[in-house]
Amino acid sequence: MDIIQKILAQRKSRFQYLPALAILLGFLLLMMAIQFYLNVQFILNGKAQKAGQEFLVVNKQINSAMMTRPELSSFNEQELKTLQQLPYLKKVVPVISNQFPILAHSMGDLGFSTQLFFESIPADLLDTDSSQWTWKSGQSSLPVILSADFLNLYNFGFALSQGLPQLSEESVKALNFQVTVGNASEQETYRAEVVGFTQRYSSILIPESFMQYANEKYGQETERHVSRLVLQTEEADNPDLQQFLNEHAYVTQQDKLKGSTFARIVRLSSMAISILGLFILLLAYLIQSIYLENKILQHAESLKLMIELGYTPKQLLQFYLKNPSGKSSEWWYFMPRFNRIAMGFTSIFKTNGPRNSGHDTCLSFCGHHHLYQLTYFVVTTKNQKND
Amino acid sequence: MSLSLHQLHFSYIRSQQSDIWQRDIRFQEGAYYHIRAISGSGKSSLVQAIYGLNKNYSGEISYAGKQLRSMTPDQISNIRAREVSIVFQDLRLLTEFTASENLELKRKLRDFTSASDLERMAGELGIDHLLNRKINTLSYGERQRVAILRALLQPFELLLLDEPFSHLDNMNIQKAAALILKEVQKEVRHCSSPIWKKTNISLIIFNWNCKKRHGHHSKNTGTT
Repeated sequence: MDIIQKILAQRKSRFQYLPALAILLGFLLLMMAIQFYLNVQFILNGKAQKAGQEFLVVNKQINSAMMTRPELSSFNEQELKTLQQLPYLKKVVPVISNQFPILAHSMGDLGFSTQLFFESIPADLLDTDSSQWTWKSGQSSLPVILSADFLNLYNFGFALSQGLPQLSEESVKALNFQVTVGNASEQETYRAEVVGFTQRYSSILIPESFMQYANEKYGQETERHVSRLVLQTEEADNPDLQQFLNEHAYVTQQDKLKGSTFARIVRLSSMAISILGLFILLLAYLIQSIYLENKILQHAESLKLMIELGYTPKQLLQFYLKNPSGKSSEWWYFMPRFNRIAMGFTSIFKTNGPRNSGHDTCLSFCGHHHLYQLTYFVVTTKNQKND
Repeated sequence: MSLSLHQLHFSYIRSQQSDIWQRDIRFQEGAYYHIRAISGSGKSSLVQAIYGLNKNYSGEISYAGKQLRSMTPDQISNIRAREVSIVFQDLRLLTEFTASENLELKRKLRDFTSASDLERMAGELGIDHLLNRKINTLSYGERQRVAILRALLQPFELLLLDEPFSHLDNMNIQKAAALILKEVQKEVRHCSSPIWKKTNISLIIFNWNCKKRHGHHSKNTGTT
């Protein structure tokens, strides 16, 4: 055995790999928490979604009185203002309905004709690609985003019972149908194209620009009625929000609220596990520091003498970086080696200081200079590589 | 390699008469110096300062014109490994290890002396039979001979001996002195570099208490 190795490798501690194991455990917990959180987010939203991006579609509870007075189901200005002032809502956006008759009819062999409704929301509130969902004045085609629920209703309710073919999303996108809008005196016909499906909204959505154009041109109502709202919130399961909705008899998707509660619990659990992981990592660092101090004190005299005899700090570093046990350089093996490297520096400080202050320097170093030591190690190692 | 002292002084050392303190001194290559002084007059401080272990001095210490104070730890280590060897007053041996291991620690540094030469030199000092014993089982005199031998295992142009024979009897002093002088002269054979010449090696002996020694300069750091 090499004499240097024999001197420095003596009195190995059986606990020297404990910090490495703690780091492994800490990282494992941290990674698990992140993975768990992402998985649940994916399950809840179908895709990774940023926190604070939850959308609730809200309308008033329809009661018997509203049957004869439909304006009662609309949100008035005061109600909108109250909603906008709620601190837990980031955005309150009205869903705009058509105020003109719409007739849809097929262009090909599929003979159908039906009256229809449209709604419109800002494109940034969509949960699907809206790049094709635009309309400019004079454009003959009208892009439409359809609720995925409607397609499901057709495929699993209507088509099966009527012996009609089931349609995939792609085949629906390939279908063209005509839409006639207007009033008794003037009408326009557009070629409607389904450009996407939404999970978030149970509606037929057209771009705001077309809705504004058509409502202004063919609208039959002087006053705009808003009967549905999109609420953007950071916490859909906020108890205050739920209480507010209940008190005002506003209705929204209950599964969203439950899902949001579930997501909140998952978030909290993930955070707790993450904190535990970070705590273990911190603990590992502390254990490593104590272990380091112990090793420094064990070998301080030997290292000091080696420097005094003519060994260079670089030589000592080389010894530690050479991996003296011959094991493969796994990442966890870095930790105990790092300890030994740090000990070399202790002796440097001691050697270059006044002779009688060596021990004081070491104690001070052990107690207060971990960060300095880390920095010194990194810089010296880097220089060594450059050499 | 020349060694120069320029106005060297330690604030905590008060001496009325001195050939060393606050003077400009250039130690000549190939010369032997014997520095004598009473206890507490700064001999150990001087040797530690020259060896780079004590920086609490005013003035300058220069090796070949380069100030010791401005050298990096690596540069100082290189000087200690190649150009300056020392026998410490307090010996500085690893007491938990054998004499052989202590000597190997130095020998492996430059691989300058062969293992067989080491054994021969140990024999000349009368410690060859002690090589496998731990330092803490040896007497002070035996330890001192191990320390002397350790200093001779590396190449050097300057050999610092700090009270090297303080624990030795006259017979062992004779043996050690003979070996030191023999090995100093032998440097010529060991080194292929042209700068290694017999005349280039300086020997500074601190408090060699024997009266009759080789022709050399004599200086004192305090009142003799």
